[in-house]
Amino acid sequence: MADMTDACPAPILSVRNLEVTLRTPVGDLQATRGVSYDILPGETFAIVGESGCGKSIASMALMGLLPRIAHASADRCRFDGQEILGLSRRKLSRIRGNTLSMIFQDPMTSLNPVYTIGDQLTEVFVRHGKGNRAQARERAVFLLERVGIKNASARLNAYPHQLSGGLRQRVVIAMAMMCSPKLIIADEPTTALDVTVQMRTLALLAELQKEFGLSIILITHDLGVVASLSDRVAVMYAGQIVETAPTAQLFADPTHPYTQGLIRCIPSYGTPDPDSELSTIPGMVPSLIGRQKGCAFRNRCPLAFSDCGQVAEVALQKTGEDHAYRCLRPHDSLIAHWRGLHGESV
Amino acid sequence: MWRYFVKRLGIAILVVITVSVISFGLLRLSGDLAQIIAGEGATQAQIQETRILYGLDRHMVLQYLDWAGKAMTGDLGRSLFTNEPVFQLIATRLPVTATLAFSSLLLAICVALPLGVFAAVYRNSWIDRAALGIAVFGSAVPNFWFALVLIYIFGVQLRLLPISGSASWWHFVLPTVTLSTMVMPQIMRLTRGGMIDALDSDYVKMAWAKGLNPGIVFFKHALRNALLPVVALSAVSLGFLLGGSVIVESVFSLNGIGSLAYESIQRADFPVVQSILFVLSFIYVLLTLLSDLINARIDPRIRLY
Ligand SMILES: Nc1ncnc2c1ncn2[C@@H]1O[C@H](COP(=O)(O)OP(=O)(O)O)[C@@H](O)[C@H]1O
Ligand code: SF4
Ligand SMILES: [Mg+2]
Repeated sequence: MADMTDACPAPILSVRNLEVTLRTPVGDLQATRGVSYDILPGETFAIVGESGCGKSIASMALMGLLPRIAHASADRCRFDGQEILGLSRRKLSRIRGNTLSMIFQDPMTSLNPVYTIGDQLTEVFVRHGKGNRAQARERAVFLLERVGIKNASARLNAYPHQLSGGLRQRVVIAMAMMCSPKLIIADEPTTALDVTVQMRTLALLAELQKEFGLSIILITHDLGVVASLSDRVAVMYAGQIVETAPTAQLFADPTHPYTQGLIRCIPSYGTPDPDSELSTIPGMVPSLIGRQKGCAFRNRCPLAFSDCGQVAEVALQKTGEDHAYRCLRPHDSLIAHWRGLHGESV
Repeated sequence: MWRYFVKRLGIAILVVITVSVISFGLLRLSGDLAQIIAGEGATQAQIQETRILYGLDRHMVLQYLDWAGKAMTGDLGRSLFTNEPVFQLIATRLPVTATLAFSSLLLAICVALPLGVFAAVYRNSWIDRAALGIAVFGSAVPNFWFALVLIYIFGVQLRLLPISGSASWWHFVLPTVTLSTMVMPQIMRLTRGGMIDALDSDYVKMAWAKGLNPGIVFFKHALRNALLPVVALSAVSLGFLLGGSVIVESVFSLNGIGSLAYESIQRADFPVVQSILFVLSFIYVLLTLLSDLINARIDPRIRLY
């Protein structure tokens, strides 16, 4: 196990070999396998992958919010200097909403319909002993204004149904910021919103991240979203990280065939020959039930060869400083394939 | 809020009027009242005389308006059997039934709410199964049988509680326990279902993610949302208990409105039957109105409509 030997600042979150198994009626489902990453203070780390690849499960494991049928284990899962995976519910609840907070996908359902947004904003502040009710209201007004809600002190008395989806998500973002967290996990924070509102909400997140120096895990199924917003990206497929790289490098030199496929699906990155390509990667995600051998992507991989189904496990290959991919093919041939697809020499 | 209240009130008044028309109409349609009042063996002339005496020769609409006008001043006519004012008859009997119904509902809620909450929180655990068992037992066992078992155990064997009459609060214990089993299972199951929905919701996940204590998550965030249908069911249940306590009243010799209705039907005492029907529906409508208002307090979304 390679520990952090390089001279970068201590990560705020360090995960090694996170495995989550769901005991379903039809068998054990390996929702995540060997997920490892480090998140540095003040950076935005994107986790990208198709729906069902285990992004939410991986983050819920950190929050201690897994469904009952789930079992999580990891060699390390250290947040802010503390192991959080095996932590008692009581100790974990002191971290949740405080130094580690979360933004869920659907703002229409993640606010409680029967309480005012003021109540829901202030309760987390008071819960974590940050101050009394009056101070909590003051902080709530400050943050609501900061996330762009006009007339903030009056809005505290509004109920969620009185706000639009975009505003509600701003409230949820403000709520996540109430206790000045060090890390926010945003699980598809804009998927439920209109396209125009999406971009504004993401821009807001990026602003807040810079202004308050927090770290963000941005979970999304849309690689296009992360291009301008994240510092580093992990691409997940079938419960595993198949490629991780600084964002610019991932787009410049996508190495894993799955990453290449995802990038080709982004409309603005268009393909030179629209007739020959589909807007989605053909094929289906394999079942995660039972441990499979070989590369999980082989039934959809344009570069698959005989070994891909034979090996027990495809290891992560390092290529360069902070770039790794999980494929049996050598780096050169993968890059050559990518350039060949684009008929260009970058 | 006010608009909502006025609208609800308007609907409630319409319902009361409709019910009064129906209860009035049904009894008029059930036979020639003049003949029934005049008694068996009365001559045509006597029947005709009765008809005029009671105003039964007038148009139905007039009769209804007459009855309704008097009813609004509290004059519900007189019993054909005892000649007592019906209002007074009901006024002496209703408190017994109301006490019984309220205490039964209260007991049912006190048992069903915590049980439903625990069953939902510890889903599929032994608590959940035990709660389900109690619910099935409660709905499956006939009332009179359960009443007799209670009488046998607590009244006859242990001699702990009185088993007949309404002289003291203690007299209400066994009837209350019996009657509460009529509504407890539904309230429990509805609480459980509502809690399960709420516990699986995103806003409860969010509450956990905020690090809130389990007590706050369960009772502040989940229960209040789960409560809406329970409030409505409780109001309906109370109406049901008021009208459905005949068996329990007769087993425990309580002189409530249920036994009054039973006696009056047997004696063809129409003014009494009609008035009981009307008073119960009136209370029922009031309860529904009350539950609507409580729900509007619980759920801000309702206040909009
Ligand atoms: N409560 C659950 N019960 C059973 N399977 C689940 C549950 N939650 C998630 N899964 C499964 O775990 C896998 C990963 O899910 P998830 O992390 O939600 O995916 P993502 O967030 O990437 O869309 C999926 O195959 C999904 O079907
Ligand atoms: S290991 Fe084989 S199947 Fe998997 S991505 Fe690489 S080439 Fe494709
Ligand atoms: Mg998800």
